[in-house]
Amino acid sequence: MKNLLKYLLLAIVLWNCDGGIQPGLQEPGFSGTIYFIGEWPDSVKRTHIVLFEKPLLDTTDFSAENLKYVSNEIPYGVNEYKYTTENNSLFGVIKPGEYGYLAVAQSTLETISLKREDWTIAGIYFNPGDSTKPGRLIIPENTFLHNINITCDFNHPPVQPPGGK
Amino acid sequence: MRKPVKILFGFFFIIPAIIFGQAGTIEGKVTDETGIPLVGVNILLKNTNRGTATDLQGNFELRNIPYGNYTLVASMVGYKKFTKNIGLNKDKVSVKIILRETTLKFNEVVVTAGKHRQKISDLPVSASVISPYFISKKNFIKLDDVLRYAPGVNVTLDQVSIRGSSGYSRGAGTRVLVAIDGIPAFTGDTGEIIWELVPISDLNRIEIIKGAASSLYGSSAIGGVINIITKNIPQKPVTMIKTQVGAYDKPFHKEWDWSDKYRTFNNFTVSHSNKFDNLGIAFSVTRYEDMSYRMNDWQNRFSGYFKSLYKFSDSVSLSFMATGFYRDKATFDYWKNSREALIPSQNQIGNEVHSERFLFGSIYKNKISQRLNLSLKSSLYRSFWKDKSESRNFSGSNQYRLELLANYKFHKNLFLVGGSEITYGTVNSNIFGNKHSNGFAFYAQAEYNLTGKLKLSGGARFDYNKLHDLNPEYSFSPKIGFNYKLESQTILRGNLTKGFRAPTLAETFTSTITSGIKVKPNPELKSETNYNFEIGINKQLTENINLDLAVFNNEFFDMIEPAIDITDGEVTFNNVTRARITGAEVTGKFEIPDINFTAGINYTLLLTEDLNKNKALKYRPKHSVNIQTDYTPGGFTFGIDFRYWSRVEEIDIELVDLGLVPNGDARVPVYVLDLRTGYNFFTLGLPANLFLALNNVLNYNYVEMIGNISPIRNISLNLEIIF
Repeated sequence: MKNLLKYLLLAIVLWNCDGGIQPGLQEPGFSGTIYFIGEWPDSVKRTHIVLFEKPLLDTTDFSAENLKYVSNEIPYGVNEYKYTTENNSLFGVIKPGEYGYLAVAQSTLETISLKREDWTIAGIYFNPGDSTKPGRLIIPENTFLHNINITCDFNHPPVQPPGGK
Repeated sequence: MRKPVKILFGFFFIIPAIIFGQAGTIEGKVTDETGIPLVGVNILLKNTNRGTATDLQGNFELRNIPYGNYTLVASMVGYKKFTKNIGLNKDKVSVKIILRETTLKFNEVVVTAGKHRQKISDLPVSASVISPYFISKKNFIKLDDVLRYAPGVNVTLDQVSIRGSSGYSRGAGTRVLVAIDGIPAFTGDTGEIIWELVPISDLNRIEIIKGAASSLYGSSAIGGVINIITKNIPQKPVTMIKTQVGAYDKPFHKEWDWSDKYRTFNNFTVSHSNKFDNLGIAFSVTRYEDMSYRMNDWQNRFSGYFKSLYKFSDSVSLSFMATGFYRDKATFDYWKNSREALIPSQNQIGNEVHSERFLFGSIYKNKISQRLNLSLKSSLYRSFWKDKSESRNFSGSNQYRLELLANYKFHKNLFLVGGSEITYGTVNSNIFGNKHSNGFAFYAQAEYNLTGKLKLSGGARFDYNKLHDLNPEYSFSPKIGFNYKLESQTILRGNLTKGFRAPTLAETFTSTITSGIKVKPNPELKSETNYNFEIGINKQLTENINLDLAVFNNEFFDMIEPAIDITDGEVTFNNVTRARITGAEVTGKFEIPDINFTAGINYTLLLTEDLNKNKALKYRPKHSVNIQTDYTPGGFTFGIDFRYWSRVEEIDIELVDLGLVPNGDARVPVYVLDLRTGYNFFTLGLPANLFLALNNVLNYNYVEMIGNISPIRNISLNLEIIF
């Protein structure tokens, strides 16, 4: 009986040497600051950071398939909003790869809609030194990018992707 | 010893010893392990005809016993036999006896599963009983922690599942009916079980009935029943002061060490009971504080419990019970990620819930005749909670119940149980609306002793349930069962029953927006049902070894689950799942009385399948093992408890895919090893128990629910003073 208990305890200890769940590796993602310039439109009901895999070149690119990440809501009326994709996801998980369109999108609806016409782009991420076209975001394996900043100037809204109102 | 020999023994030894004055007194006191005096314990000097029984204070006295060596035996149903060698060579010898409860002898344990007292060995279904001393020894504070060690029971966070009946639904509805002294205890809005409401220091036993029991208990008993029986009020005043302190160790991984100090918890309870002629009262108050091993997971609670029993006569009594608490608790929904597993995401920090829950109940009993017993049970479950989220959610509910129960012994072989129940509930909430519900039910069950060895039982219950202004629902839940004593030590049992669970107000009417995701009501929601079959065998292999085997099958129809409506992307509760749970349960218990060693082992196999998706059901481990050992030399107690769950196959993967629970798919098999020791100072004549428990000794990290690391290694010390 004593031997049985001894072996049982030994087996349990061996099973548990790894301690169970391990801390994971660094998840890919990014963080930065959104700057808001000018008066917020009264009609805005929700504001999110959105990330698309392919650039929005056609109305069909604004789709659930192409949409890879939506942040939690950005509070109405703020001048500055620091964000991180860690634990700030309304939808999607950031995976390593190349992304074609990162922006701040606003809607006049209370609920989430996936229709292009329900959204207005308030600010676009540009690669450093090139504000002529939407920037490409490259996220390597196990890498977390910082200073992915976006400016939303309500007085000078950016070029809207196809399919808007 | 044969009779002539006894007479000779008396003639040659006892009579001369009395004549020549060489006689003394053996006196003593008998208590249970918690120090409560035991009344009516049989005291016997072995191989003599001298014996007595303990009085109301647990005391006994044997006078005019000739000097000599004796073996004293103390015995009582439900307790292990106590023997002690005594040398009587002076006027008076005193002994202190502590009787330990036994659950080993299958035919001695009594339960109230059939709404009347029955031996567990007479039931057609599987059942088990947990004693309160196990709760004290393990320093448990909440009942759901106790249930993790019960055979065939799984607990996912705070949601209980018997033989895989439930997964995890954040408290919306329960498939196990929990009752306190037979009074159902689930809230009127979400229909959830609030474990803190159970007065854990005032329990007599916990009965667990496995498999659907809707034929007697109605909705929610679709997976089984947990009936919590509170302590009887003792004949003499008893006061208990219980103080418990504990601390969590540092996390296994340094990356998870978020606090610069050890996190502690403490619990303080004072209880008292007394009898004044025909009136008995018992009450307790408890203060509990837990800093938690996780950030934003603390809680503070004040609890109170009151019970009174007034006996109008030997056959008529009225009892009243009230239990409740105020609690403030921080909210930890999911971890930030597996690298910071003991910290919630930023948006959860600062979230708190204040809750106030109260259950009031009264039971009027009238023994009309030797054959007929009537009981009238009434209760009110009052619940209120509010959170500090942005939308300031709140819900208040009142659930009223009235039940008339009759037990009638038609003749010596036929026993009838019948009753009716009326319910009415109201809810006032910003997410469930201002709603009401009502229902009524009739039930009847007959138990027929066919041959002395074969007992047959059959019955049915009819339920009417109506939620607010929706169409009413009707449910009919029949059952048949048998219990056959193959031989004196082998019992075969079987049961076929239909169960149901009516949707709760929360599942039907929830309307809210959380993080932009809309949860919408579903007035079309209907009851889920199941057909449950079980066959089992129990064998007392030897005086000290008991083995129990059960196989079961559970067919679920219209199982209620939250699901995303693909037409609009909104979440709603639907009757979506046709499921099957098949399994087996083996339980062995053995005892070595000479060295006071007992052990129990249970293995449960669950084969679950969502027949619509051809996948296992969420949060159901396929294999579970529970091992408990107890060694009690003298006043000491030592114990080792181990439990194992295989890695659950299915989880809420959509929450992981949506990024709401980063690394949420991280899960492992569960191995939990606990050690405990203690000393019963009653053996020294001091009115105290001291217990030390070391839980999760290996500091093993596991989750029951995704993104929620279960308690890390912790140690607690519990001192009980009873006088």
